[in-house]
Amino acid sequence: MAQNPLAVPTVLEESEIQRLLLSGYASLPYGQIFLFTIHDSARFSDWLEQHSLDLSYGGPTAAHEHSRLNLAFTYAALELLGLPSTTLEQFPLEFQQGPLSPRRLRILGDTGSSSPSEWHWGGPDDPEVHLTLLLYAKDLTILEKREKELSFHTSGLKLIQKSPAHLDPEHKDHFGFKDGIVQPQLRERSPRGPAENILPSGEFILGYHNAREEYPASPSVQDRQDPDHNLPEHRATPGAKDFGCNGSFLVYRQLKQNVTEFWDFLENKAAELPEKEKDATWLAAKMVGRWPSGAPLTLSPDQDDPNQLEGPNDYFSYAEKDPDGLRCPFASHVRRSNPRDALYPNAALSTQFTRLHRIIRRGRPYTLGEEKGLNFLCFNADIANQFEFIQHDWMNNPKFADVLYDESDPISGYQDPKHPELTHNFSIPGKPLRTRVSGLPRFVDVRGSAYFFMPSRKALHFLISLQNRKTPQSAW
Amino acid sequence: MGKEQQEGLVILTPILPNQEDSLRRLLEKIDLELTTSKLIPFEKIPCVHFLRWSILPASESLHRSTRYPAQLLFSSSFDGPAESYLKSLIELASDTLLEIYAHGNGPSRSDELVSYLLAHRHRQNIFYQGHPGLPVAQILADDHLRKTIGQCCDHLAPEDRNDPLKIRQRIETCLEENPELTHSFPETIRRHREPYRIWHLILLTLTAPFWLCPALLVLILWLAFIRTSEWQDDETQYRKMDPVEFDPSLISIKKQTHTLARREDLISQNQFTHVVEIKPGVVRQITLHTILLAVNFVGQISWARKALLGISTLHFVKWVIIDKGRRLLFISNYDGSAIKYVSDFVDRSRSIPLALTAIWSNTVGFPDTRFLIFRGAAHQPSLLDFLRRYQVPAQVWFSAYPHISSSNILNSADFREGLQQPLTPDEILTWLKTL
Ligand code: HEM
Repeated sequence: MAQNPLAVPTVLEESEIQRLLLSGYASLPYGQIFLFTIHDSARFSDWLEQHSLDLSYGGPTAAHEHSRLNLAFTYAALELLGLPSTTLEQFPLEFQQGPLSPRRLRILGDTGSSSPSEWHWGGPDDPEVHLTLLLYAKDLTILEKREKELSFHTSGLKLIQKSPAHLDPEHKDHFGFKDGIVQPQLRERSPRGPAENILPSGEFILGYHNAREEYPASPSVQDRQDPDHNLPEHRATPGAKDFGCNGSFLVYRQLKQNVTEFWDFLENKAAELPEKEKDATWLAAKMVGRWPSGAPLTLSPDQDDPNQLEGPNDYFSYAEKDPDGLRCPFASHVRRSNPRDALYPNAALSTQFTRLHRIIRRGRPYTLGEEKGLNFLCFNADIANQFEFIQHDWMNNPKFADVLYDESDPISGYQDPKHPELTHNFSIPGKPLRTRVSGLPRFVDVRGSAYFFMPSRKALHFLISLQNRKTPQSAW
Repeated sequence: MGKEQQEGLVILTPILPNQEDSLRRLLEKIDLELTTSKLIPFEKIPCVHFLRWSILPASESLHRSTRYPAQLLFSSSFDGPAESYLKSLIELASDTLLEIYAHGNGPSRSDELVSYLLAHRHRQNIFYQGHPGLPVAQILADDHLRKTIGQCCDHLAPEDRNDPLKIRQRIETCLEENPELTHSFPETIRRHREPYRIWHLILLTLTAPFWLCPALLVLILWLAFIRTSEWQDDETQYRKMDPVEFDPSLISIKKQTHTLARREDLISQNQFTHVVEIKPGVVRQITLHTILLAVNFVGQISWARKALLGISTLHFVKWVIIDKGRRLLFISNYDGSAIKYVSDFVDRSRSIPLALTAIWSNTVGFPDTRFLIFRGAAHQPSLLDFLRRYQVPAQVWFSAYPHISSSNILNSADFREGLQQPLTPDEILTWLKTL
């Protein structure tokens, strides 16, 4: 990369980046997530061109302040829209294959009660997922109005599912715990808070340096394939155009929460605990690693204390405060999904390492009929090393942190359907003696899963131009 | 409980032309029936920790006008000695073994198999053990012990749970109630490692004034040579000669990864089999031999509990020079996924990448290196690509304890050792952390 003439960017090109990447839209509590199949790509392109001004990007924008719209495509969609094969093949394997490959189902734990046969969408017999539209609004009326204005009947799209994504007033999930607290801060975008939580943007957005101080892999387009000069120069491959720049990979998993089962189980287990003061909420907090208010167990080990919640940047150290997991168990959800400085005995190396495996979370709860759950959404520049790594090597790993034997993440880990004893335990370290809970069922089941690419403004125009040119791909 | 040392065997035998496919089918069939196998009753083989067969496919040399013929690799780690291990393996599955080796130049009678196999044995240049001194039976017994005692503790009365002495008492009662648990206790408690011929070190230190100056001179000349050769390697030869031409988007490696990954993460352990050409020239040969010797030495003496220089996810690792010094074979059994494995090497320790680079920078296709030990393996993505690129599948792979990790093994042994000796209340507190 020494001969690269382009300087490494130090500021985000926000107006190029879809806004959802930069903001969780906390001021727009109502949301709707649409999943579509593209059945007529020419009509879809026209529709997209008409509505391209409706999309929300970063930076100051006046239009639609009371609502926001973003979109992302699956690999199948990019193929359908005519992205050159030389570009397509550069996408990472996991994005090409999607969540249905047998290996991916295995490592993500989409087996047993979470196998694709149980999914509402995205399964092998369901219509192919191509597009997700994410619409957010200040209130329900605006949400409905915007949905009508989008006039899907002329779009060449066929709706697969529409799921509400409304924020709870207290930002709680269906288990009753405050969610969405910790988010990585982007180095190239006036970051706040402790240094450990400030990450180079390239961990999440293509076209910027990542935590290894290099560009994440970004699919390129040859110069002649972009006659209208829609795309920017490729920052890592001089002479080529960059399709990925200012884009990101979006993981969407519809996670059903078995709320009644969760609390029934905890009530029963708490009743068996020797210490009477330890109730179901205590047990649940040990599993999450935070109290219902969001206060971290690491800072407030004995009871819920909302004052311990320091806002979006409470970035405490496990190694210093809780090396043995006496406050926040190793196996708890937050310690597993971001072990911070306590994955290895060496805190500095540990921090350095966990920084390579962070995600930006944009999930919101849903209720669909009887079903309650989390529309889990997250952004990353490298699905295999970030989302999949967290799910597989941390949450589903019964040997997590080299200290556990037979337990997966009690909230979002998988349970081995054939040999439950290998995963269905939960140990709470204690002095002198640990407490052990066994027989955990899956409290969270997958009901749909897809990997998307969220393009930049320029990449989106390039995609539209592909259809407008109507050039057969073989002509390139 | 036996006191045998853990040993490793690496055996390479030829495969007859046209026999590769049928051998692959046979091996894959054995692997399919791994747990229920009638062809090889793996569960009955005494003393085995890990075992694999892997076909090293025929390949062209990148810088010599040679072709490496297809070979069958057998590699295993077990509680020694090798001969009696092979004998018991053959006793259990002589027909299958004869059939496997009939695809090469194997004998027709089973009583000749041991000497045939031993004749094709390769010296392991590096043999690293993640949990030395622990025989298979001990590992399984320790795991069972910790589980059983754990269950006893779950039923402790609330008033006893806060007193370390009472907990210890309860555990001792539990032990008395299950006397079979103590049958597995070895006589010696601590797993002391022999001081590695300490007098060698003393001798070396005493004679230092005599060899230090010439040695420094040689070192400087040698580093200069290596650096020049690295500098040339950067630009030239190997990559361009590689049939899988070097492509920046690494599409060929992606495909290779896909094929290999299909057989990974079936249990919480995985294996790696990797074979790569050594760079030509005498200096590279000497360098590689010296480095392997040094790393093996350091690996053995620095084996402090729970930390091969910080990594506790390894069971066994081997490096073996094969094909008359032309290729380097790397074999390992580890916990967790391949991505995590390579990250453990690179991102978790500062010294391991140096050692890996010192070894593999003498082979073709390794990421660019400076002064033998810098850069190279320090960059996780490039190391992963290098490993994936020259990795070969293992058609048969068996683990005697597929659900016990290396750190579990060490921790459970600690737990047992704590039980075998009297402890003060403070020591009990520390010991209870291992439960
Ligand atoms: C229905 C399933 C899930 C529920 C109910 C849930 C709930 C929570 C809660 C209550 C928190 C603590 C609040 C916070 O720090 O924001 C949290 C944190 C987190 N969760 Fe989840 N989660 C779920 C699934 C997942 C999945 C699938 C992943 C990723 C693979 C994930 C990754 C994380 C991360 C990275 C954190 C932040 C930890 C930190 O940085 O300290 N969660 N989750």
